[in-house]
Amino acid sequence: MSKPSDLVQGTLDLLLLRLLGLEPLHGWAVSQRLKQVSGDVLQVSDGSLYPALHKLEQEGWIKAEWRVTENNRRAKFYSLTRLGRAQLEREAANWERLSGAISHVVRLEEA
Amino acid sequence: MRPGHWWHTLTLRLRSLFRRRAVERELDEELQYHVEEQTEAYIRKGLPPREARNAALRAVGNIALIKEETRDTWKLAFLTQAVRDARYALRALGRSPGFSLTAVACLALGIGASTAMYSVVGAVLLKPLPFRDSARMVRVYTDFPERPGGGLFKFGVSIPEFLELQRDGRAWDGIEAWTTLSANISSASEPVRITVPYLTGGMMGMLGAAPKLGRSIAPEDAVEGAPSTLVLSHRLWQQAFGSDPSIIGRDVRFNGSPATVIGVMPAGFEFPPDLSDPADAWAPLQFTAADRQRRIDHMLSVVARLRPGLTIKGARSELSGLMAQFRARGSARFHGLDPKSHPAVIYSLRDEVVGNARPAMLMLLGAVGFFLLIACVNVANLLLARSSARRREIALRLALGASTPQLFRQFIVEGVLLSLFGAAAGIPLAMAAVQLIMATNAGLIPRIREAGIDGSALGFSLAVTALTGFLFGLTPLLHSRARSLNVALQSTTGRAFGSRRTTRLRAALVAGELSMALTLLIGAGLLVRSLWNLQQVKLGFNPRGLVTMRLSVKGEAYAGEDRLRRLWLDLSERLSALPGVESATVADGLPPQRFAVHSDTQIENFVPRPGGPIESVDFYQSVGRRFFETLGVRLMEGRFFDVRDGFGAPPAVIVNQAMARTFWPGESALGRRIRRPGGEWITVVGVVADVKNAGLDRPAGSEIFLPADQLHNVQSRTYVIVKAAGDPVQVLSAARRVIREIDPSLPVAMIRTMDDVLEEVQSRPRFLALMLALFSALALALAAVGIYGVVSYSVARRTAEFGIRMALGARPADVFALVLREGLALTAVGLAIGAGGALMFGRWLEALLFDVSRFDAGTFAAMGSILGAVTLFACWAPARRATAVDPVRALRSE
Repeated sequence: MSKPSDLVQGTLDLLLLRLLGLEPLHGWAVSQRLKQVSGDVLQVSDGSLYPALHKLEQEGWIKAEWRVTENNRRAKFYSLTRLGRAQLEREAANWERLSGAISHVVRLEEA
Repeated sequence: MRPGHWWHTLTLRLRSLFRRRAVERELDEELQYHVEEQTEAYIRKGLPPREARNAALRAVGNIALIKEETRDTWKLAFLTQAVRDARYALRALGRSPGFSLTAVACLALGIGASTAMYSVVGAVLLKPLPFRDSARMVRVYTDFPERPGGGLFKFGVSIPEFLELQRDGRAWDGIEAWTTLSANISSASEPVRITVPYLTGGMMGMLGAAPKLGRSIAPEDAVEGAPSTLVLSHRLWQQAFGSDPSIIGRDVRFNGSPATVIGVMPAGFEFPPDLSDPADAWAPLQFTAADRQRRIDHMLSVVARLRPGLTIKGARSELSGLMAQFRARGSARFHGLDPKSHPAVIYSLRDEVVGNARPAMLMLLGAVGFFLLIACVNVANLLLARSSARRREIALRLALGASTPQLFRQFIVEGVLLSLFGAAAGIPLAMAAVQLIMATNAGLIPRIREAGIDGSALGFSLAVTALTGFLFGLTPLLHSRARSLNVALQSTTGRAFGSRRTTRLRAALVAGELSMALTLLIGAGLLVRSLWNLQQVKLGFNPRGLVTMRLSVKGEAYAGEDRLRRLWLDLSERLSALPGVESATVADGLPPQRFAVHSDTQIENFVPRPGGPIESVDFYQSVGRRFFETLGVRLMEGRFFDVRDGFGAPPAVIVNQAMARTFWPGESALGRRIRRPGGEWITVVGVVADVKNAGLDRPAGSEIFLPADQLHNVQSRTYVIVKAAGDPVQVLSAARRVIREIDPSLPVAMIRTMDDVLEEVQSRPRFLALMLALFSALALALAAVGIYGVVSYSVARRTAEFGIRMALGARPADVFALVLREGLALTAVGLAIGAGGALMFGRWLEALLFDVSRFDAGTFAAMGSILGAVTLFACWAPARRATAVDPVRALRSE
C-alpha cells in the first residue's frame, strides 16, 4: 500500500520537486494537484506522500513552514530550496534521458 | 547561501533527533489537516459530514503506518549521510595507507598513554573513597609544634585524648579510631600471620560497611570484657578458610586465645585505605580502665565524619575553640590537648590517603599531557603535509560543485575516523598498561587497586578522541584559505605544494614538538639523577649477602620473658652456626623502613635550653648478639656489645652519632647515662655510625640500641637477619629448617634479601623515572619523525632552487649546510622553548627530586645535547638527498 507499484522508484521525488517548484503547497494540496495534472493516472497514496515529503525536507531540497491557508487554517507548506532546484534539474534531465531511452527501446520492439 | 542551507538541514536533523515530541506533534497536525481538507472535499461532493469523514480516513489509510514511515525517513537521512561520509573518508584514508598507519599509531600511543595515566591518577586522586559520605571524612592527628627539630606533626592520638574529642567535639557526627597490629590466627591447617586493624565500636557503622556474611563490628563488641570477636576479610576467608559459608559463629584461635568469627566483609572492602599491606581481619578495640588513663602512647589513628555542611575550615575553627576549652578546664596536664603545645588537627581523609603520591600523580598526568600533545602535533603535521598534496583534489571537488561546508564535514569525518581508529588501538594498550601497573604496583601507589579502565576513563579518552579528531579536521582548512578556485587550480599546474604559510605553520608545530620533547627529557633526566643519588646514599650498613625474615612470636607459648630471650639467643646462635652463614642476628626492627617512636627518654644531667633538644629518642632498637657485626655497622667510639653485657650485668646501651650529637655535642658520649621514665639508668658503651632507619631520603634520627640479653621485655616483633657468605638464597632453606626445629609453630613471614628491601624503598622513584624516561623516549622519537618530515618536505619543495644553486656553482657541501641549517634553526628554537618549559615543569617535579636541583645545569645540557644529536641525525638524510640533486633534471622538471 505504501509504495505505488506504478511509479518507478525515485520518480515520486521528481514529481514532488516539480510540483513544489511551481508554488508552495501543503500536503493535501500536493496530493490533489498530482491527481489533477496527471489526469488521475498517477494515484499517489497518502501513505507514501508524507514519508516522501519528509525525506525531501531532510535532504534539504524542500523546506517547510507553517502558514495560514485561505480559509484561515494552519497548514504546513512545502517549498523548493535552491539546492532543491538544482536537484530538480538533475533529476529531470535524468528522467528525460531514461524515458527517452526506454521509449526508444519500446518502439524498437514494436517495429 | 550554501552554509546557511547546510546549517538549516543540520538543525532540522538534530531537531528530529532531539526534539522528538515537538516534531511528532507537528506531524500529527499535518496529517490531521490532511484529513480535514479531504473531509471537506467529500462534503462539497455531497456526502453527509460523518460519512465524509469516514471516507477521508479510508482514503488516507493507516495513519500509524504513515507516521512510522515518516519517522524512518528522519533517522535514515541522518544515518545514510553519516555512512556515506564515513565510507568516503575510509576510501580517502585507504589511498594513503602509510600516512594513515603512522597517524593511527601516533594517536594510539597518545590516547593509550593518556587513558592509562588518567585511570591510574583518577583512581588515586579523583575517585571518592569507597565509604559512606567519604567527602566529609577527615583524619584527626595531634601535633607537638614546640618539639625541637621543627616539632612533630600529624602524630597519633592517645586514648584519653580520643575519648575527650569523642565526648566534647561537636564538629563531627562521628569520630572513631583504629590501631593496626599483627596477630596470629589458626586457620584450617596452620598458623597464619595476619594484619589486624583494631576498630572502635562505631567505626564499621560510620564507614557504612555492609558485611558479606554475618555482621560487622558493633559498639557492644568494643565494650571492655565483651567476648572476643573477629571479622574476616574476603581474601582471608577464601585463603585460610576455603570460603567456608558456615564460618560465622565459629571459634578460631586468635593470638593464642579463642575468638568468634562474626562476619566476612565483601571483596574490595579495604580499611584503613592507606595500609600498604592490606588488612586481613578486623577486631574490636576494647579500652581497659588503664588504657583510658595512658597519655603517653599516641597509638590511635582517628577518623571523623564532619557534620553535613561543615567545611574543613569551619571544623578547624570549631576545633581550636574546643582546644581553648580544654586549656581553660585546666587539663594542661602531661600530654594533654592544648591549643599551643599539643593541638588536635584535621585534614581531609582523601588527601591523607593519597598523601605523598599526589605530586607524583600530578607530575605523571602533566607528562602524559605533554606526550599526548606531541602525538597530536605530529598527526596535525602529517595532515598538513597530506592536505598540501591534496590541494588538487580539493580544488577539483570545489570546481565540481562541492560546497565548502561539505568539504569541511568530510575533513572532520576523516579526522574523527583517524582518532577513532587511534582510540580503538589505544584503549587495549591502556588496559594492558593499567593491568601491568596494578599487577606490579611498581610505584607503591595508594589506592592503585581501585584503578581500571572504567566509564570515566573511557569518557576521558572519548573526549580526547573527539577533540583531536575535530581539530585534525580543521587543519586542511587552515590552508585552503586560498579561497579562490583559480588560484588553487593554477598553483597545482606543477607539483602540489603548500603555501609559505603552511610551511611556516609546520615548522612552528615541529619546534613546539621539539620543545615539549626536551621538557620531558629534562624531567626524566632529573628523576634519573635523583634515583642515582638515592642509590648512592650511605646506608650505614652493608646489605651484601643479607637476608631478612620476620617471625611472629606472640602468644601464650612465649608468655615468660625468659622464654622469649631464650628464643632470640637460640635463633642467633644456631643460625650463625649454619654452613655458608657468616653470622646471624635478631632485632625488633629492620632498617631502612622503621617507624619513629619518639619515645620519652631521660638523659642524665640534661639541661633544657630554648630551641635545644627535649628528652626524647626517635628510634629504639632491641638487638640480639652480633647485630652490628652482621649488618656491618661502623663503630665510631667505644665498643660493640659483648659478654660483659649479659643478663644481670650492668645495663649497657649503644647510641648512634645523631643521638650523640644531639645530647652531647662536642663531647664523648661514652659513660653517659639515659633511662626510660621510671626505669633504671643505662650506660652508653659505644657510638655507631648512623644507619638509615626511616627512608633513604631522610637523615637518620636519634637511635639507641639495647642488648636483648639484658632486656626484661624483649619486643615480640622479631626480625631474623642472616649474613650469607655467598648467595643469600642458598642458605634460606637451611635457615628455615633451623627455625622449624626451634619451634614448629612459629610462622615465618616476609622472607626477603636486604637487596629486595632496598629495591622496594626505591621502587616509586624508579617507577616515576621509568615512566618519564619512556614518555620522553617516545616523545623524542615522534619529534625526530616530525623534524625529518618537515626538512624532507622542504628539500623536495626546493629541488629546483637547489638545482639552480648548483648550476650557478654551489658545491654539494654548501647545499648540505643550507638544509642542515634549516633543521638546526628549528632545533634551536625548540631547545630554547623546551628549556623554558622544563623550568616550569620542574615545579611539579620538585617534591620528587632527591639531592638534585630542578635547575640542574648538567641535566639540562645533557638532555639538550641528546635532543640536538637526534635532530641532527634526523636532518642528515634529507640534507644528503639535497646534495644529490641533478641540476639538469631539477630544472627540466619545472
